Amino acid sequence: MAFFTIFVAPGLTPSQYRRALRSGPTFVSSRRKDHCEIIASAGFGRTEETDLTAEFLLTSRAWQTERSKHAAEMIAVEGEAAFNERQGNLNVQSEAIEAGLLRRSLFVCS
Amino acid sequence: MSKRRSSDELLERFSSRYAEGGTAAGRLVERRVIGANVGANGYTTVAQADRLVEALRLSPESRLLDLGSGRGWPALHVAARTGCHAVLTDVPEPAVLSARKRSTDASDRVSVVRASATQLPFAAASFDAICHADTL
Repeated sequence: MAFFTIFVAPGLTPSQYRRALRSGPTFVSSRRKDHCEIIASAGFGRTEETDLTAEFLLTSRAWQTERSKHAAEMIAVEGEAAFNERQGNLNVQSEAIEAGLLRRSLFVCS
Repeated sequence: MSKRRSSDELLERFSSRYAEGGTAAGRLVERRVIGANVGANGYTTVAQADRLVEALRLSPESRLLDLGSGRGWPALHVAARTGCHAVLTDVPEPAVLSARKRSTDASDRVSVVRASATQLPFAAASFDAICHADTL
């Protein structure tokens, strides 16, 4: 099994943790256990993690920047409210990644 | 907010996002962010999809299950690079329809099933490998 996932960084204070949950994709709030613990409980014996957080920040910022460059066309498709909401979410997410609250990794399990 | 209502709203949001038609500007944005026009709206770049191909070590005889496949990225890339058989699954209907459309050239090896990862309609040991990208 191999998967990419975004998750709340370990070792946060309660307020940082709450900010991380608010800042990331919805599914980050659905997981309370450590990845390795969940993977082991599913019967996988070996797990390799590759940290992709730096690339995640670049991609998150790139979506925001590139979409801004074509705002008129994007708004025509998405509507202004949805466009602005998504841009705002991307900005909040990028700031949370920069603050060390959110991470993204590739897990390979066997 | 009830769990059921929250789940319904999420499905509606994702369905709406997957239903958005492709525009020239949208394709340009995706190419600049992801590196190709592949129907991506997440964070898996082409380079990372290639990393996934290497990690899974699949052959043309392998069977791959993708959970939360969206429009088919990066599972269709994995299937194309390895020649494996792939089953893509997701819940939003527009995502499933888009993935089916994108997989027509590989319909002998790729199928797209509308199913939730929590209730998969497959027998145990049906697959050699599982992948997903920012689904769980």
